[in-house]
Amino acid sequence: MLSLEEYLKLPLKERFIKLDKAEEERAEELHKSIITIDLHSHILPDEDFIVPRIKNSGVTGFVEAVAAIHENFQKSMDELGYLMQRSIKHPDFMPAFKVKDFKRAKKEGKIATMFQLEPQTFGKTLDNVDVAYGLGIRMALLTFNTRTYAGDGCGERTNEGLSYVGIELVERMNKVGMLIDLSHVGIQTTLDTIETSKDPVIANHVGARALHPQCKRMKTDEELQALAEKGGIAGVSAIPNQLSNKPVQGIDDLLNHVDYIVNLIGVDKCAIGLDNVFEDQVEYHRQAAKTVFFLDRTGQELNAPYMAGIESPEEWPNITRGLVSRGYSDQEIEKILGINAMNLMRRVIG
Amino acid sequence: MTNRGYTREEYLKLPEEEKYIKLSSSESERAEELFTKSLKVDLHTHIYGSVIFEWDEEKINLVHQMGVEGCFEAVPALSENFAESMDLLGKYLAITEKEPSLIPAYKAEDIRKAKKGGKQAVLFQLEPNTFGRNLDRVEIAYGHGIRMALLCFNTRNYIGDGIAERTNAGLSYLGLELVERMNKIGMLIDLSHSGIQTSLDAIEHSKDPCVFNHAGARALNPPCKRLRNDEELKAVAEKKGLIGISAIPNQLSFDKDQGIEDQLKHINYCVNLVGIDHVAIGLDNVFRDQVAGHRKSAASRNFKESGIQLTGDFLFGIEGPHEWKNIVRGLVSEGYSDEEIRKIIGGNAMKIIEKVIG
Repeated sequence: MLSLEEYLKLPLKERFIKLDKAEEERAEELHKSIITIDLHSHILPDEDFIVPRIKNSGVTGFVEAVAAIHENFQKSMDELGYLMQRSIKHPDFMPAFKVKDFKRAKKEGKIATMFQLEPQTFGKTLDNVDVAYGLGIRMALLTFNTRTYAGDGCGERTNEGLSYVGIELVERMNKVGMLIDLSHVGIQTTLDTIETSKDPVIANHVGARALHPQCKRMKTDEELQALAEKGGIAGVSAIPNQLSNKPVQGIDDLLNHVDYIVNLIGVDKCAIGLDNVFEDQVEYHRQAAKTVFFLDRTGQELNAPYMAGIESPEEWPNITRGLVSRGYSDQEIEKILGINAMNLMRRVIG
Repeated sequence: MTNRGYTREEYLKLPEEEKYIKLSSSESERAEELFTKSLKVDLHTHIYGSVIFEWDEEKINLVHQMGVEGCFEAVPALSENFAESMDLLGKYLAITEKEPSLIPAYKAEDIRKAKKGGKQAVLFQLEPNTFGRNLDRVEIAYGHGIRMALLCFNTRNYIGDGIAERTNAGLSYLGLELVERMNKIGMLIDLSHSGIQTSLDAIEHSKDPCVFNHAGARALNPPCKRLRNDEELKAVAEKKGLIGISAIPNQLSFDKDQGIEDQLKHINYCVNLVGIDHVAIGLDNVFRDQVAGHRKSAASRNFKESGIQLTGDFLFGIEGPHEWKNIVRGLVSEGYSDEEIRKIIGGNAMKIIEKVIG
């Protein structure tokens, strides 16, 4: 097996799934023509080497996450302001607030970034929902692995449902049109939220617990079915050591989770939310394992050094290739890569 | 509404002998001597009120009349902001420093010193849990003078669930860490407004004894969630902790006529259940019309979900902290020995303060 350093020296084509010539043409044509949306990204830090790589991804729109580095609302809004100016000022990017912005980006050849709040920093001040919306947030998590005033995270000691404040938070988010993300949320809080919310909700960077039972970041069949029944969708992530605990992981794991979710809840309910970054993320996870992420509490083992074939957002075209190789039709691929996300956003956000 | 035929206003004008429990003259003398000589501790007071008010002659006289050497004054749960809690603490400390008859207290010895010098010692506790996720605030609050803190106030926080929450979660991982931090520095853990499972988890996890410093027995008034069930009372006592019996109207009972007898019933019940060494006093009442205040917030979820019904207007015989002496009279009338009474009114509290705080 190649080291991460050796792997990253390979030309992109050599990292990708092998296809025959007709399949390859089909995958390339599809990837170019359709609107693709990555529902969970961390692509906007101010480092210029990243920009050409994002352009290589061919992705139309990202839902960029204000990261869960702290749980302070003011600091989250500061970070949002910084990311927003980056998206406004850079000629290749544009901020997105509605579905039609993704369409405009496709037409103008730009990369649209919508914004989401990954740490739950609303606290008990529910007016913060309106403040965050006003400043550009269109999606937010309820908990990040640990307990908040709203509910329990997936790595918490307990598995409680929504609190009263949690119920009010859901109602406020519904009212303003902010999509509720349940990715790092515990099982009972997830189920309570799906039941309470009048709008469909999302788990934007997850996978199927059935394929990796010890990892609490993955969603159980019950959660996925409840989500889908209310019109919500699940975005499959590509973070190393979440979809599997094998020593070698990669695009096949992502495709296995896509297949499983499509079989369980249908091709209209599955999307992509990679969550990966342009750095040695396993090393970062090793450093932060016991602080921000509490990886041991979420059942993650840092066994694989990287995700072969989908280590960063630059390798997005390999998802399209993978779906072609797994026998999905053009229409199905278009749904998974963009239409499902846009349909849900249209309904909840506008 | 009236209590035993009196409105609250009329009640306050009654002479002591009509408000207080009737005793024979020898009993009365015994109560007087016990009250004067024993060291008394109230584990949960609001002598400075919930808001900053004029600290005047009338207030200080009432505090003197209360006569308790160790008041554990609570920074009230008006806000869930740590800085605001510390601001309020600063104001309370300033009053305590400036008033010649009061001294700020930080350990058991300060209370004894106060008794000796004919003064009243005031310790401080944090009623809202405003630590958030920043556990360094345990040390900050300690540095500013806080020696006891609640884990939850009625609703959920990062630590656990309150008694009025929709759910009954146990301690979170952060909650376990908070308990350890409070143990390490010597800050007493109060579980008065914490939910059942959070309380049981904290008692189990804490290496030091914990307290329910202003509560009562749930068995005597089951709809009121502010009271503690037998399992909680036994658990806290088994770990050498305490239950402080409160005297807030409409918690110990939902009868129309409530009073000192209700407090005594809760004391008797707890003494029978967990023993004389685990019962203390934590009144929680204030020098004003508390039910009128409660009526204003009666529609709030916090209130409704606590299971509280505003049936009584005031507590006959223990409506304000200045009527503390009536507790001693009551304990005499219930047949407790001098030694037992000294334990309940201060001895047990001193023991736990000494053990946990120093």
